[in-house]
Amino acid sequence: MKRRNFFRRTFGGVLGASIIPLVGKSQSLEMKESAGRAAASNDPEQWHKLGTGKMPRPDRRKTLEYDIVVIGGGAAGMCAAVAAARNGAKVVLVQDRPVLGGNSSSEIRVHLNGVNHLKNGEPERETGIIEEILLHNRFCNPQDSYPVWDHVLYDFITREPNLDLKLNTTAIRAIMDGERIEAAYCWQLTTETEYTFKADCFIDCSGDGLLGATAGALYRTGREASAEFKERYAPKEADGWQMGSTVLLGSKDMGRPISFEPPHFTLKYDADKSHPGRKLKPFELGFWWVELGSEDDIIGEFEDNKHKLLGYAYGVWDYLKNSGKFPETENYALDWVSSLPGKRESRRFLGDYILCEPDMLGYKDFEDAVAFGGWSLDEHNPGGIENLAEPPSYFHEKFEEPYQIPFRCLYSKNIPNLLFAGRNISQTHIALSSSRIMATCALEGQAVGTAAALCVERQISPRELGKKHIADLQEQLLRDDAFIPNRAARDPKDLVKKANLIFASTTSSGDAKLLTDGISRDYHGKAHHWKSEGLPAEIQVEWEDRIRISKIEIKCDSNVKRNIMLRRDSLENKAYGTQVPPELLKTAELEVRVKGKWKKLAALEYNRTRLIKFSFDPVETTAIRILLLETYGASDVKLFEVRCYE
Amino acid sequence: MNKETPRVYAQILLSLFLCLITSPRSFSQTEIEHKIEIIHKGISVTEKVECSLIEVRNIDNEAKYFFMHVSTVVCGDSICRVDTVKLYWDRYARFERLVLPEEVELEKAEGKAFTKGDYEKLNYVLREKDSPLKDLFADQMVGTLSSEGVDAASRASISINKKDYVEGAVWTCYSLWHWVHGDTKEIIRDLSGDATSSAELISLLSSHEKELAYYAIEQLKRRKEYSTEIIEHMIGFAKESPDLLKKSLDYWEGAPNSMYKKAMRAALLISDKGSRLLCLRAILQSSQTLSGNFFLALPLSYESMTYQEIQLLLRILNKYAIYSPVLIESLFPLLDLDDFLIARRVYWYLTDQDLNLRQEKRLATFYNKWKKKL
Repeated sequence: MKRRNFFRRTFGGVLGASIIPLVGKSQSLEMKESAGRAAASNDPEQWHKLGTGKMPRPDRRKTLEYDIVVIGGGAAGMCAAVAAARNGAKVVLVQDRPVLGGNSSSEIRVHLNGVNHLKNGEPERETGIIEEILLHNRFCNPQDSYPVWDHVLYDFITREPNLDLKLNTTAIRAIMDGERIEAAYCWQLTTETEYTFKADCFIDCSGDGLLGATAGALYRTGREASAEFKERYAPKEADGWQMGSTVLLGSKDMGRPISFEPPHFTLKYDADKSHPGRKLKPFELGFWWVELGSEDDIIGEFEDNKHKLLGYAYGVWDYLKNSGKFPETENYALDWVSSLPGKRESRRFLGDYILCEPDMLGYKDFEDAVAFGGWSLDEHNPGGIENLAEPPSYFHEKFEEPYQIPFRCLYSKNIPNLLFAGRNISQTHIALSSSRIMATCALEGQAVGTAAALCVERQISPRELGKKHIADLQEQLLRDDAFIPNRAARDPKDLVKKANLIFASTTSSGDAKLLTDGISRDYHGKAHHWKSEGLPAEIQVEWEDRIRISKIEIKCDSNVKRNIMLRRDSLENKAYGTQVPPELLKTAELEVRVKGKWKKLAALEYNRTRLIKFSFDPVETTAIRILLLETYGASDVKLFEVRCYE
Repeated sequence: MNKETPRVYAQILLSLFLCLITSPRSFSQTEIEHKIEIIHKGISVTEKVECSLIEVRNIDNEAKYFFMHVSTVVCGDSICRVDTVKLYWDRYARFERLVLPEEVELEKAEGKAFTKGDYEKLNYVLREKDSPLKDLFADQMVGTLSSEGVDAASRASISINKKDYVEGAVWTCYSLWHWVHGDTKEIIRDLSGDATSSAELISLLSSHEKELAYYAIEQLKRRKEYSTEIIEHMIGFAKESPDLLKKSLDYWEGAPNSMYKKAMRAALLISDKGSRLLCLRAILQSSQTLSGNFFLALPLSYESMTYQEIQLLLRILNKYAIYSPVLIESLFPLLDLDDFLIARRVYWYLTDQDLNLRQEKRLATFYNKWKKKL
């Protein structure tokens, strides 16, 4: 019996969208260890190591302790891990592929989209750690190479203090201590090593969420009925449909006619029956609509689906090359086909809140908002490429402005030390159709990473953090340059808020006073910036009373109205760019006034981030001066925020 | 003679009159051809294009207007037909009109002719100095969202708002806009400036149209002409607008020192705080030399100045190494201001100066009172 048929006949298979705890909780640590011991080699001479001697086959098992374990090295997981590490936790990031990036890696090559364009056509680009990553790529990968992007990410993650990375390592199951996850049991393929990662807190950013599932976290799959959450775009009755995975391809002009012989697994593409939404041009960079989902067990069916997807991908290419209808493809040949389909949907964990379509379209204000989204409600059709008559995606509705994502969607309802970020958060299928986009997932990741660090520090659960200390989480996120719509920063520790005077040497727009208003981008048509007239320029802050400071943080402009992600087509226009933003501040100096004399405290050269942090030995002062000397091209400099801390 | 005859005569006279004032071959005007080289963003951002710019002068040898033949489309998707049209500018490089060859209508996508509404829109677009078309390079005009990744609708998209171009003719709008507002404008202004008398430039300083005043300042600067009369005119209109004052400050920076000092003294007398700040900033950044006597002679009321102005003033005094006992003594009252930030700032300045015993004592009193805040 085929795997898919098997599940149809079980109790789990009969239900539609349902709450299905994974049957059978994970083993205790002791049982796992005894099982491991049984698998070890007993023969002391099994391995003849030439030149050295004979020895038993190594029994590679390691138990390591961290504060936080993050499973999944895509956009969400990377940002969660970095956020947690930067907020003082000792973190391990576990990734089951040889490269980081998830769907954006060179293995899959999906664009790292976010709020690329609202209804007005303008982006509302994400800031925070994900922007740092994208800027790092702009500096290090001007050639827009995907394999190089893999290593840009590797560079970004491995340089972070307090953060260990384990690639080629799969989290197989959770090891439980009552309701809590005690450890993640993992297998590193390349080194044949069993890892047991113990921690206080676990974050599942793996998409499919196996750690959470084996821990017993409640989850759903499929589509909710419209009545459950009053979702206009949901089906009348609940069903098992999950959006599919896609195999992308790339081709190049060889300069001469190149023939194409389809492999045996090719599946004929019936273009005549296909909805016109399945565009065949441009053809060079693949077709996002070569997609297969499931109404049943999309994880269990993955390998079968992958086989079919490869067939369909090659089938579309075969149609282009050999139907005779596209003479312009004559010189083109495939130079890349993904062997790992990019996933869109599988498990969705249950949190204390389930985000739904009315929350998004109603732009609901959540007290515990920690992230935002704004990609359209981009629900792909059930059946994917096997339902040719339907459009590949419904693109139900675009958003006027970003919507908020509340913290209650990001931790498990029933596993007290489990958080999640990415496509597996607590939300309906329709909500997922918008929030699954990688930059949105990244913001969730930064939120849960920060939250986990706070939980570990205070020895509290995510639920307690959300109920009693949500403002602390939000303030930290805002300080770290995450944007929360309609939530201004009001950090009582920020000494600039107590300044008596803040002014600039020149002003062409905005006002220096806006640098303390708590909103670090222009939003809803209102300015929250100061912009100089020419360069160099200065910002000066004065206090009547002496203060003691050791940190100054500024947020400069990186133009959040322009996307900077890596793209296969290296698109360059008003909304997309491939260069380092010319607005970005490049060079600056920091001075403090001590006993009436200005003293240079720090110099910044070749800055690469929007959020710029200066740390120094504590100094007592009554004024600071920021000298802004150069940008990466713009003739004026724009800032959004200045903060000082003791 | 029938009733129609006067009307016919009037029409003939009107036509003759129009021919006289618009015909390039009119006996009251002369045409001068200038071979110019300009960058057109749509053609190349590095290689200049050679063009023929025609200057039309009146009987007094003053530039009246300019025109140039240009192609309507220089880049893009090669879909629209390319025509040659005539662009007209006035002597101040302000766009006047576009003239089509006879029996030629502009064409947009799918071979459709421009409608009346399209021409009006084009006229609007070409008059917009700050159009979004300005900052775009040709390859940024159109994006293809079909390769947006895994999920997107497939369609070519124009990356600017519809209100900023004629639908179906974005390349025509882009190409013509950059002909109108590109390098040609500066060339026209300079050519025109060369053919304009100093008296006329000075009279333009008093124009109600800021654009003409800017033009006059620009040309006077280029010609390095400075005089007391010019200062008086500039101060007159600089009072109305910080933008005009800024342009003036830039102009005076190039003046002989005595002129510069006269101009700055007059500018600082403008009581508006914003203007004073602009002037003080300009003095701080200036490469001109100033003495203590200059500042002593300024009728500035320090008590009414803001912290920023006081700070700038003190920085200027430091920059020019101005030491004047009279000036120093005039700063002491500021130590008693309610505005502690100013008082403290003045305190720090005074601690670095050579003071007499009484003044030292005064500073010590200030220190003892406020040491926790210093």
